[in-house]
Amino acid sequence: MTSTRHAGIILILLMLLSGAATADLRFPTPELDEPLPETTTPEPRQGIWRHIEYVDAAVLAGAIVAASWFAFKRRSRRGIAVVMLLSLFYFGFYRLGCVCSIGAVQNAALSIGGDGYAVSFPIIAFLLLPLFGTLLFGRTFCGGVCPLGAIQDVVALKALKIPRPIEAGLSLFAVAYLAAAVLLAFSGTVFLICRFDPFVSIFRLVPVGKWIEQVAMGEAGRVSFSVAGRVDLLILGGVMLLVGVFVARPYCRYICPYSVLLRPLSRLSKWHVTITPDECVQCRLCENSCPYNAIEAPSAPDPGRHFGKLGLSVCLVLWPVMIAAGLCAGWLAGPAVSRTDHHVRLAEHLRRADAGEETDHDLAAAYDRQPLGADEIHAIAGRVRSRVRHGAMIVGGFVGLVAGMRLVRWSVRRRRPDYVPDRGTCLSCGRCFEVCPIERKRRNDAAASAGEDG
Amino acid sequence: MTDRDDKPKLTRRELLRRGLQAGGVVVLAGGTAGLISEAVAGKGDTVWQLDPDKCVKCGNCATRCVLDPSAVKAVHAYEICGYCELCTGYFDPKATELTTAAENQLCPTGAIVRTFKKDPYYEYSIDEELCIGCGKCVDGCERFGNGSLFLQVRHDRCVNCNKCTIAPACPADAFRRVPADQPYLLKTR
Repeated sequence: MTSTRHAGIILILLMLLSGAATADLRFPTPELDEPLPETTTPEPRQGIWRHIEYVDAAVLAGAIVAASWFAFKRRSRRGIAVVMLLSLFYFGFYRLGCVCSIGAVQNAALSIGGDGYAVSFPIIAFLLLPLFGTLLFGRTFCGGVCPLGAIQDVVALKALKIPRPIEAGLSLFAVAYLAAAVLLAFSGTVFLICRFDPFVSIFRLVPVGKWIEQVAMGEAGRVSFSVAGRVDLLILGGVMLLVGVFVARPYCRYICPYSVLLRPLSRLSKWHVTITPDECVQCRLCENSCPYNAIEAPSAPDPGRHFGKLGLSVCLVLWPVMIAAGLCAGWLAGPAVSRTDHHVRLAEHLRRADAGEETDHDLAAAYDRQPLGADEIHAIAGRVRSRVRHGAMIVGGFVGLVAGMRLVRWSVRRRRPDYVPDRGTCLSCGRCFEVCPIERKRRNDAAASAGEDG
Repeated sequence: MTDRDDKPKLTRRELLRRGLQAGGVVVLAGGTAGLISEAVAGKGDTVWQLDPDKCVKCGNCATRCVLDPSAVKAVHAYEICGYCELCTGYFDPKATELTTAAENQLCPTGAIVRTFKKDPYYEYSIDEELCIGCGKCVDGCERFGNGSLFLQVRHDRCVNCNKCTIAPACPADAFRRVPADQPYLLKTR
């Protein structure tokens, strides 16, 4: 009743005032005796905070150098752990986990994809510093700097040994994840890695940074918990940490898309940490010290050339099959992936509306507000669909290619006389240093000589 | 990548390694150069903003932001406002009387402040501490009024996520990156 009455009043008002109103406004603006207030526009960041990303990049470089120094020069797990915890605090809880090196891959893809977005220098630094660092020192970034790794490292208390075939199979997920994330970022729709980052919501649960800034500015610090629609991610993060108690760093080993880039670089790295500072005496004490399953035992006696040949040829036959399977999977997944695009969603809405089906109210409103006609939207959506389908096929084929390559690698025998870290999966965390008797002797000697000097 | 190492041919392996290493450096250096040229060609730092002309007031801004309450707030372009006594952005359509009583207000948090200016004009302003960015007032104002209320990302609150979490949820594709030195898309006359 009342609403119709008000609508009536408005209508009458409209008719009365339409003559006086300016062309584009329903109601005339009043003549007030005072000037009108301005719409306020608070600046993005004030003063020194404006360029904090450059500070972040410098801290990142420093942290990689520090972690590498502790790993190589001091051979100190404790030193690496301290660097790791400091970076967890700074990049995670203080800077809220954004931008991170893992996510920066998407910025680069979007920038190259080109919808007017260009990466900024700090993001380039975040993407490339760990890559260069890994090419020099191995994955010291993963072990000592990455906040996502650090939060998992802290909870890895009862690490179980995962059988190698399962390890290898699960780590293929990371390849698919990287390829999908690059594809989606390239098309400018979703940043998959950020959307399903399991730890960023934990970093943001307690806004430590805001509190520190408030106290630094001389205001009373006020801490409030903040969940804000991220409940799904909090659960994901919680589950990941729970699993992480038994399976050390599950995100790093099986999910992290950045690790797909770091692994081969680490294999090629100029230097890499060694378990022992001197010659390995094959005491086997380090065998179980690695929570990440990255220590390889000396190679078993040769099972015979015939066996190796058979294995290799089976893998070489399977390789193209895997690539083909990947292409098929991509072709099938294409339509579902394309639904992340705005125009495809609009086209879907139009199709449903034409068929008289129930459709989304907000999409209908969005359609009314944009200038394109139905035919144009269908045409754009068609182009996006076919592009995405091709992209998804490239992604699938790439995953098949990598899977086949790893299988071939696996079937090729390598000679290892000693216990050595697997350069691809070793995170340079330094845990194995402590258990090596040669290392212990070195430390005792060093302590003794220091004692003599003193 | 398949290195045959049944025999201890260390020199050949070492050569292969060096070659791949050099390849890695070249690829990374190329990538660096490419990205730096992208960054130089670009317009520098960007921030997230939503285009009020595209916005459909779906309410996702209130719920999808990583902050609670959202960094998106209703803002007011006073120069467009009609200063109506009966403001359809302020009053609930089911309001029984035009008073500031909570049951008459459209805003679920009472974030709109109504001030008498001179007969019959009232000024409406947003208390951003209370506003949750749901866009109900924006919808009301646009439906029957001048459309002077609209939503904006407030940069004193926004943490500028790498990818705004509201953007993929926006049914109108209204979110985009804008240059950090022009961080607002305001409605003007």
